[in-house]
Amino acid sequence: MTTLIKITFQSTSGEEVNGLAALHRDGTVVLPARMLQFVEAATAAGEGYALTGHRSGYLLPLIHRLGASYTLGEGHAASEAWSKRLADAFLKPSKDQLLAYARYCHTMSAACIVGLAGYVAGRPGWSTTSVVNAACLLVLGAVLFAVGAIYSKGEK
Amino acid sequence: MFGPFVLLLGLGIAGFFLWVLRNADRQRLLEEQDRISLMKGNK
Repeated sequence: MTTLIKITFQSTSGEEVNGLAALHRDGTVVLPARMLQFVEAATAAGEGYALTGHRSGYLLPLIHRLGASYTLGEGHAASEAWSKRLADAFLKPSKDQLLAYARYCHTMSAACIVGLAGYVAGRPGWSTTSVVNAACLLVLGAVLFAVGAIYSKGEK
Repeated sequence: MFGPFVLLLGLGIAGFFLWVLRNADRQRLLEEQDRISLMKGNK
């Protein structure tokens, strides 16, 4: 059975073309003639290019076999270790991760304010301890809200 | 008195997130410098 997969051609001149190619049962990908022209043009111009196939949410390099025949280089799919991803989440966070942290701070801030309301309403009487506890919740709600607001700044 | 404990914990969390933000800013600055040096090299 032959299926169609999405393929992407990218050259060092900045050209990017998406197309569909036939993926055969034996793993052979046959490029359409137009896509092959892009490859030949890039080769003739001495440009670097990359051909990738989209498969199961991954970008796999297409390895040339013969003519318009390629194979999906499944062994070449690069994946990072989860420990590196975890470290990068804090050392080199992406914009999406920064926004997620902003939402976390705002959620914690809201929890502080709700907790403060419940605490104040539930106190039978006021004492130094209850005032300090309430003040701490209020300050923390404000601080976390401010941190969340700093995170949510986004692009200038 | 749970208030000061909660406050310290929360300030720790806030401090950690500010440290993460500093890392993100540093990373963005490095990328910007790389791009600038690349553009200068391509003149």
